[in-house]
Amino acid sequence: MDGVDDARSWDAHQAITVLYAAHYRRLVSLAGLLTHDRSAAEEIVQDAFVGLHRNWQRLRDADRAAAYLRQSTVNGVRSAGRRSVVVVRHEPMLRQVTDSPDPADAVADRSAVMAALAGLPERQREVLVLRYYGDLSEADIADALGISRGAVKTHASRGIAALRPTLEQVR
Amino acid sequence: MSESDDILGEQLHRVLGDQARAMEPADQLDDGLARIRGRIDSEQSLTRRWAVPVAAAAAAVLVLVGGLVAWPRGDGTPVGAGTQGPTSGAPSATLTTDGPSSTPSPTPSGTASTTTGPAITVPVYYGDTFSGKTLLYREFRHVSSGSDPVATALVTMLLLPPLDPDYRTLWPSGTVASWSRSGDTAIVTLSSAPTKTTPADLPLQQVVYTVTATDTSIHRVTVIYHGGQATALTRAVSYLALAPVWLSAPLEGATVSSPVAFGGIAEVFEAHVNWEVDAAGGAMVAQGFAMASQAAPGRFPWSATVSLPPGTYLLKAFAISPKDGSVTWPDTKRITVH
Repeated sequence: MDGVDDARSWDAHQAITVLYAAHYRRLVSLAGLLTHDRSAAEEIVQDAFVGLHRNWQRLRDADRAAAYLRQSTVNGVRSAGRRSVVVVRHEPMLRQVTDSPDPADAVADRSAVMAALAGLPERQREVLVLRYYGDLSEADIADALGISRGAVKTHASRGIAALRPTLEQVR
Repeated sequence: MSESDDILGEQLHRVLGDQARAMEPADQLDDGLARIRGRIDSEQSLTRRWAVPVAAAAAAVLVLVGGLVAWPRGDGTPVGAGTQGPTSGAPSATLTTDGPSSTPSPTPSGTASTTTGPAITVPVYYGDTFSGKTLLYREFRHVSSGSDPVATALVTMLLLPPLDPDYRTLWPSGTVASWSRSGDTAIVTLSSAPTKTTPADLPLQQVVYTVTATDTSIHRVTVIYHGGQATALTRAVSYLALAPVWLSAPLEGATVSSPVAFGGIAEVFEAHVNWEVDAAGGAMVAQGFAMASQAAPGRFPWSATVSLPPGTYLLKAFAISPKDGSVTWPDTKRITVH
């Protein structure tokens, strides 16, 4: 079909359909890592897509749309509040341990890292997840979080330093 | 960042990837797209409907255009009913209603008035309330149509007032719908939240019964509405969804000759359907009972005849409560005998 790859020719509905296929799963995981709540993560990302639909006339570009979705997702996670983070440190982490088919050691390691991550300041946690799960560049992270690239660097190295004792235990 | 930071970063990358995989649900994710679409739908105005876009299956759309009902093709162009293909100018498909039948008959009947395309008969379910509880009744509606019977039935259900003024649709006025199909499952998207009923799922069952009766190859219906969705619904068992006594013929407002034949479908205790005829002033002029061909459980046809002098009457059929002998679930039709 002509023009199917050209985002400028998409109407808002087409944009949602195409961008959903490209980004939805990954964004839900991203939000899930930040909130530890899968269904909250889905709702946050669905909100982002509904917002994208409203703003499509203004965006009209696949890359800008992806950036918009990331930004909305991070904002959504923030407004979902600290409450979910606090809950997670205790309850869902245990569920992960019992439900997972992984070998027990790896799961324990993962839980320890996730718990340490949950204990970081919000910014550091966001930067680390966007960088090491989202594989985003410093510029993209700065854009998504609305901070400078320098700040991204600082948060990343402080975050890694804080996780060092835990990560060094990971086999 | 230092080299050791990079090693730690790789470990973090691996842990986060594992964690993300562990959090993924087993079921497929397309549900998310349906939810997003449903929410976008409910935010949109009446004229900018969802299914106009991508060739997302053979979606049928109903668009309300200045009181006319049009069925756009996949390209979003409203077309006239029938198979003529796109027409120029304003949307030309109109919904024409059936008038009252002049022939009493338990089979669907009615006359189409002017049509712009072939008329078809679709079964449409409506609700009525008795003693705080709502159950469904069925009317066969003879309407000019687009090429899609399910879309026709849905738009009739939402937009055309029922022939019987006691009945009502269980969705707010102005609700619009689109639908698509996947295997034996229909996905119906509605722009409003259902009205409150007891039982609460009856508006959903109104959609399920109407869609599955119109296209009998559809067995499940996913209903996405403003604020929620219900996945892969099947028909609720009849005694929880359908009124126990239907008086289906003659139609409301019909003019008939005496003796008057009337009847319908019932699911009643000991197969007894009671009936009475009231004169215009309200006085009862005749009464009796008919036997459904079998007793509950299960719905079976019943019929009766009564001789009446010319005049206007209210025909009433109902079940007698086995508990206390009271009249329950009366279905009424106003008729004229000439």
